[in-house]
Amino acid sequence: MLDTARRYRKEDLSPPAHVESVLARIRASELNAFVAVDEQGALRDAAAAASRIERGQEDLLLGIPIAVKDNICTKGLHTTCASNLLKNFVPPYDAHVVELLRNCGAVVLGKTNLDEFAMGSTTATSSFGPTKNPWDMTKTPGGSSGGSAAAVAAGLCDGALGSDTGGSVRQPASFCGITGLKPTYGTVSRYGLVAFASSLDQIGPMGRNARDVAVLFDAIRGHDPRDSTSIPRQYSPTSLDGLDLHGLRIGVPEIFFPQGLSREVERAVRFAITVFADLGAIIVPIELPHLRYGVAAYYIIAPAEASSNLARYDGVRFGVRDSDEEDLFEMYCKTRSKGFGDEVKRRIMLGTYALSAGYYEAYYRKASQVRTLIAGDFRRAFDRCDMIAGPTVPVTAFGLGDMVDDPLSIYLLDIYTIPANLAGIPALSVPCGFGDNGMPVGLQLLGPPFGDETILGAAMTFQDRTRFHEVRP
Amino acid sequence: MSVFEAVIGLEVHAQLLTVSKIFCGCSTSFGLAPNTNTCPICLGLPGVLPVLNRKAVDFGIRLGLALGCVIQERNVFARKNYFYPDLPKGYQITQYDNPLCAGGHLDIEVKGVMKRIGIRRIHMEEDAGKNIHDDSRPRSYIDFNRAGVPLLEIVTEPDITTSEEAVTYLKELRLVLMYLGVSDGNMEEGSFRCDANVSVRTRGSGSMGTRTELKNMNSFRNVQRISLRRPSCGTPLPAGPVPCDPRRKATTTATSRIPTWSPWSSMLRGWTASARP
Ligand SMILES: [Zn+2]
Repeated sequence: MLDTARRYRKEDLSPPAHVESVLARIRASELNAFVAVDEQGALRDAAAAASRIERGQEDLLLGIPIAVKDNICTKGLHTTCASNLLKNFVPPYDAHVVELLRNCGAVVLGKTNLDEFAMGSTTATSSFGPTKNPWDMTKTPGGSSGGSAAAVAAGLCDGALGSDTGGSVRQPASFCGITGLKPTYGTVSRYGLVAFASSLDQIGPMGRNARDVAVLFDAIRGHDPRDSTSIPRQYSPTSLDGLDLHGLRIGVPEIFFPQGLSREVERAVRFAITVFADLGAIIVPIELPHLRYGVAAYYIIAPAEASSNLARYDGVRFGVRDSDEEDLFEMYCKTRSKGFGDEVKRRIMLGTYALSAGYYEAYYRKASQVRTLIAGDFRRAFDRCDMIAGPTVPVTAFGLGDMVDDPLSIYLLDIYTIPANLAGIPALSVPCGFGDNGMPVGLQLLGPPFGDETILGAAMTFQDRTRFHEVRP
Repeated sequence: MSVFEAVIGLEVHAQLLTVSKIFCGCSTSFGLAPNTNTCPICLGLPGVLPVLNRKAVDFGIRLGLALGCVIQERNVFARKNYFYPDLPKGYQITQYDNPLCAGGHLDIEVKGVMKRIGIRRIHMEEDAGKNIHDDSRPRSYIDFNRAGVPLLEIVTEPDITTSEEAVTYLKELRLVLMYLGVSDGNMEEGSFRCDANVSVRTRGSGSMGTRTELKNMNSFRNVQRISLRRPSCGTPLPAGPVPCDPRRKATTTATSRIPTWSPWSSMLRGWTASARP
C-alpha cells in the first residue's frame, strides 16, 4: 500500500492502471475472496484519485484499492453478510469507515467473503461457498474475515477491512500470513457494521505489513457521534518509524503455551519472542489466571447478543421473504428457517436460551462477571509489562472441509483471540514463521487500552528485522 | 357498600414533545403520509445504531422532579425482545432495571378528600410503528412514522381503589405533563395512553387478587367503565384469587400490542410491508 502510494508520486504507476491490474487479478482468481466487485465504481474512483494526485494532494490512501468485508454497509452496493437472507440487500447508506475511506480518496474495490454474519472461523459458513487460502487452495483462509485476508495475501487489493468479534481479523491474518489489527473497543465507529455481538464487535484494518495497517487504521479511527460507544478522543497520526524496543517490557504468560499447542506454532512464536529480546525488549513472565474461562464466557455473551441483534431479519422490511400468502407466524418461520444457515441458527438458539427468563442469571450474568475478571487480569498484567506476546491461533490453516461437523473444536481455536475482545483491548497478528507444511504462523501482540500505536510500532520494528511478511504465496 | 374493592395500578405512556425521535433525527410530527418520517435507524436496517435524544432525557427529568421522584444517576437501556411487524428491530429499547426516575407521588382530590398516589417509576422508551389492515384483502401495511417516537412510561403504586380516583389521577397527570411542556396530552393522537392493572379483593383483606391487565384505554370514559364493572363481577367469591374477567377483550382496543402470536397473528395474513427506505 505504501509502496503503491510512493509509486503514484514517482509517476511510474497511475491509480487507473493499478486498479485495472488488481481487477484483472481478481477476475482471474479462484480463491472466491470476493462476494461482489464494483469494477465501474472502482475505475471511476481511481480516475478521480489520479487527478487529485496530479494536483499534489498528499493523502496516502489516494487511489489505493481497498477491499471491504461484506458485513460493512456500502451505499448502493450489496451488503449480504454472506447470508441468503440478505442476498438482495442494498444499503441506502455508507458505514462510517467507508465514508472515511472514500473521503481520503481510497478506491473501494468490492465486498469480501465471510462466515455468515461473521459467525465462524473458516469462511466456510458463507452461503456463497468457502474462500480458499492462497498459500494452499485446499486449506481454509480462516475466518470470519477470510475473504479480506485471502485478498490481501494474494494481492487482490492493497489493504482490507475486516471485523473482529472473537478473532475474526487476527485469526485469518495468521492463517494467510498478513498483518491484522483488532483496535481498542471504541476507537473505530461501528456505525454501518452489521451487528453480531455489539459489546465485542470492532472493525479492524488488514494489510501486508504493520505500516500499511497503521495507515489504514489512522484513516478509519476517530470519534463518530452516531456510535454511542465511540470514544471522543483526538488522535494524531501513528508514527511509521517503528518503536524503539530497548527496555520495553513484553509479558509472556506461560498459559499461552500449554500441552495442546501445536509444536510448529510454539517454535515460531518462541523464536519471535527471542527476536524481540534481541531488539532490546525485556521478557517478563506474567499470569492471566482467568483466561481459561474466556472461551466459555464468549460463547455465552456473543450468541446472546447475536440472538437479539439478528431478530430484525424477519422478512418484513428488507431481505429475502419467504411465502407471501401465509400467515405472519409462517412467514417469520419460513423466512428465518430458509434464510439462515446452520451455524447462525445454532448461535441464535444458544443465545436465546442463555437470555431466557430464569437462565439469564445463570448464564449471561455469570459470563459478564467472568469478563470483568479477565479485564482485571489484563489490567494487573499491564502494570508489569507494556505489551503481551503469544500465539494468535494454536494451529496453522487446516483443510477446507476439516472440522465442519465439529463446531466445538472450531470454537476452541479462538482461545487466544477471544480475551482481547472480552477486555476491549487492542491486539494484532503479525507473520512470525511457517509451519512444517509451509503455512504461515501468526504472533499476537496485545496492548493496554489505546495501546494500538504501541503494538503497531513494535510490529514495525519486528518486521524491519524479519521478512516473514515479505514472503508471498 | 360492596364487599369487594378494586386495587388499581396505572401505567401511562406519554409521548414527548421533542422535535425528533428518541434514537434518530426523524421528525415526530403527526399525521404525515406513511413512512415519510423514517430513516435507516428507526427502520432498523442492518448496521445502524441508536443515539439517545438529550431532550427526551431532559423532559423525563423535568417530570420526575415535578412528581418528587429521585432522578437516577445511572440509567440503563434494555431490549425487550419480541417479534411483531410494527417493531422494526425485533426488540423495543426501553428501561428495565435502572429507570430514569423512582419513587415519587401525585396528590389528587376526590370528593373533597386529598389522596396521595405513589409513583413507582418513570422510564424512557421508544414507540412502535402502526399496523394498518386491509379489510378487503389478506394484506396488512405498516406505517413506521411513529416507530422511535419517545415515550415516558409512568407507573403508579397500586394505590388506587376506585374509578373516580383513577380518572382524577389521569386528568391530573395529564395536566402536569401539559403544564411542564413535556407532552401535549392529546389522547386522540395517542400521545397519552393508559394501561391498567386491576385486581379485586374482599374489602379490607391484605392480599391481592388475580391481576388483570387492561391495555390501551384511550379515553377517560373507558377507564371509568372498566373500573366500575370489576367490583360487581361474580357473586360467590371463592377464598382464592379472583378469576379473570371474560369481558376483558371487549374493552381492550384492537390496536393493543401484545408480544405474543395469538390472537393477532392469525388475523395478519400475508404481510406486505409498505415501508421503503
Ligand atoms: Zn429515523
